[in-house]
Amino acid sequence: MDLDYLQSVFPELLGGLRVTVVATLLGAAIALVLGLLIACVQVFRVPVVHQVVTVLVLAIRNTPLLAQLFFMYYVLPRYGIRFDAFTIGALALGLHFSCYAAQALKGGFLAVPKGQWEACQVLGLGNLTTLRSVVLPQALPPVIPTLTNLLISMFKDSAVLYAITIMELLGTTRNLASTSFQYTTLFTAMGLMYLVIALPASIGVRRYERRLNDRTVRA
Amino acid sequence: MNEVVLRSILDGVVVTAEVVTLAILVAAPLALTVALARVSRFKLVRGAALVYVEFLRGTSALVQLFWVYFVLPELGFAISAFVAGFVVLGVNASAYAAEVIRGAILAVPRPQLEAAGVLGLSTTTTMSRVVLPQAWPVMLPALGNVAIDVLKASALVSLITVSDFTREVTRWATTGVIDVTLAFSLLLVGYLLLSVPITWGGHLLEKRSRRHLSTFGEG
Amino acid sequence: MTELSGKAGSGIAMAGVTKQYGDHRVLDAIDLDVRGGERVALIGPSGSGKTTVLRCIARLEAIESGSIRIEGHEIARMADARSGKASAEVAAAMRGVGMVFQQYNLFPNMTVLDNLTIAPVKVLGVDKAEARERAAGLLDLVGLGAKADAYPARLSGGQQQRVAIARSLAMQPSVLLFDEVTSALDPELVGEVLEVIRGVAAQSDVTMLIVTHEMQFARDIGDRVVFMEGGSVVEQGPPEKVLADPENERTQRFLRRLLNH
Repeated sequence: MDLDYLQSVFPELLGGLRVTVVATLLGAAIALVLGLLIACVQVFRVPVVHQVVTVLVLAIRNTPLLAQLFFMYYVLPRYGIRFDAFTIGALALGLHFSCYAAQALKGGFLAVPKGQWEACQVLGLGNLTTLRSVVLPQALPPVIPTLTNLLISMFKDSAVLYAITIMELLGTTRNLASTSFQYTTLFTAMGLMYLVIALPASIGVRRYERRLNDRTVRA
Repeated sequence: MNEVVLRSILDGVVVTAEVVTLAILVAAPLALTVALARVSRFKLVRGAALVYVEFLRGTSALVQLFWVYFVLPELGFAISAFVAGFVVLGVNASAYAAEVIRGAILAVPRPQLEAAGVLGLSTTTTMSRVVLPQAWPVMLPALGNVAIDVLKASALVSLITVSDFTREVTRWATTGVIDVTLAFSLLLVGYLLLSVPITWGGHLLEKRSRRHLSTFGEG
Repeated sequence: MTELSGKAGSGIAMAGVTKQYGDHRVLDAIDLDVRGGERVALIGPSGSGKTTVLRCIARLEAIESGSIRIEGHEIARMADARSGKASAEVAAAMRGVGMVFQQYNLFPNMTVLDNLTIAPVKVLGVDKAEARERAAGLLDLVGLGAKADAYPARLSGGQQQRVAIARSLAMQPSVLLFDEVTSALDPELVGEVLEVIRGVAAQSDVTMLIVTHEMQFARDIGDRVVFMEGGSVVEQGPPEKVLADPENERTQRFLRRLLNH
């Protein structure tokens, strides 16, 4: 490890990390909204849409994020849909993980007892109020650990965005290495940067989950 | 699409299948060993296994691929991209699979262990004849998901110059030899088809593993 | 008394209602009328369709055929309808129908007070402060004025059920449906809930249809007792007649079996 060299390029690596984080958060916002929509379509069994969405989710979950990324990056502009690489990257990340978020959210929805939905119906609460005031507040807390784990996965997997020229952490590292050839220093530092964020985060999630379980066991 | 292009893409599919198969073969024994270490009586063994798992899950397969591919040669280990590819994917998957196996082991009811203890069975016999056979059907569905993840992650080897399915398709599409819409649609459908035998195999194993466990009369 | 503006309407009219689960006919062309302000106790063995009657009136279940009118408005949810969604007219009629469930079904994520105010505020558009004031009055009525800020999980089953009754009253219903509201309770908590229902009955003229296993309660509260078996009404009449001196042999058998337990 060449620490002097590392020090000189550290600001650049941090810049890459910032791009990684922004892409992850943007992707996460997309995944949450899209995942919620998908979960609603599946829970309420919206005719036709429900079947179409189920097939799409299966297809997205069984194909590589990289292939989806290339598809969106190279094919969409052909049909007049033009975004910059960064937007495409965040969209692809969000779309891919929305399928996993949807599954977690759907599980949360279905775990809300049927009586809760019925009480809402008898009180005349509309679908939106039922969802926002009664169902979501009960469905979300148990799936927060799963959703946070997905966020951590997104953070790590966002490294593929470098394949469509986005200068996130991996892209920046590669770029620096291509001129300085300091592979060991650069790639080790990069790995540690991912680790320093992802590791404490996932340990935190596990702690939270254990506390949640303890509480439900005691209740 | 001319014959040369078609042939190279098919060769790519074969490489992808090889990478996935070899990665799974690397992952299986590692995962079992690490899972057993995770439930070991010895604190040091448990700790080492935990570090292995956390370290590998703390960064993405792509980052690990780059590290191994670019850094190991600097440290004096020459390694081909193909070998780096399946070894890294296998080692990475072993961390996830180990956690699945560990979860299934811990899900085996305690009285089973007590019964084995009362019969005077050794730890090894208890594990191999009592615990693992009962944990096997429990862990299969999640192991199937890990296998699908290996297939999806295998596309990443294209980024360290392995001529797999993704790399071959991308190569012809980006040089204008074949239409990009056709190329990337083919890529997605191809991966979807490759996932079918994995899903299938998983279901088959699951069905077989449960054949003695159905209660009398259940068929 | 001011909290309970339970207005007597023309009640409930079920005619020829048939409800099927697959091949099993739960309700078999049942006719049942409850006059405005009347209190009817619905009794019968489990599986006789009592609860299904309530659930059909509350539109929680769709029916195959027949008619259900609340205060003169047809509200039945038909199984062959293209959508289970209520029309504006039906929704308006259903606002007058409250239901209390066996499992209380309070919203665990809200305080007791919020449980009582959410529907008046969101559905009726009642001013928040006013809804809170009314809710406080209703909580006093069920003897839980001190628990307004508690969460349901902190309450006993009996207290939760009393809150659930107050919640249904908050919508100022003209029809109240009680679905075995004491069945999930420990025996020592049954009394307090029945007492609250008696109080509501005494202080308002809301129409009540009560499914219960408590025969003494059915006798006390009912203007009429209806005995159901096999998805239809077998016998009905004044409580002292049906419960003490039933005419139908099936009613006799049911009551005998209860006594022997």
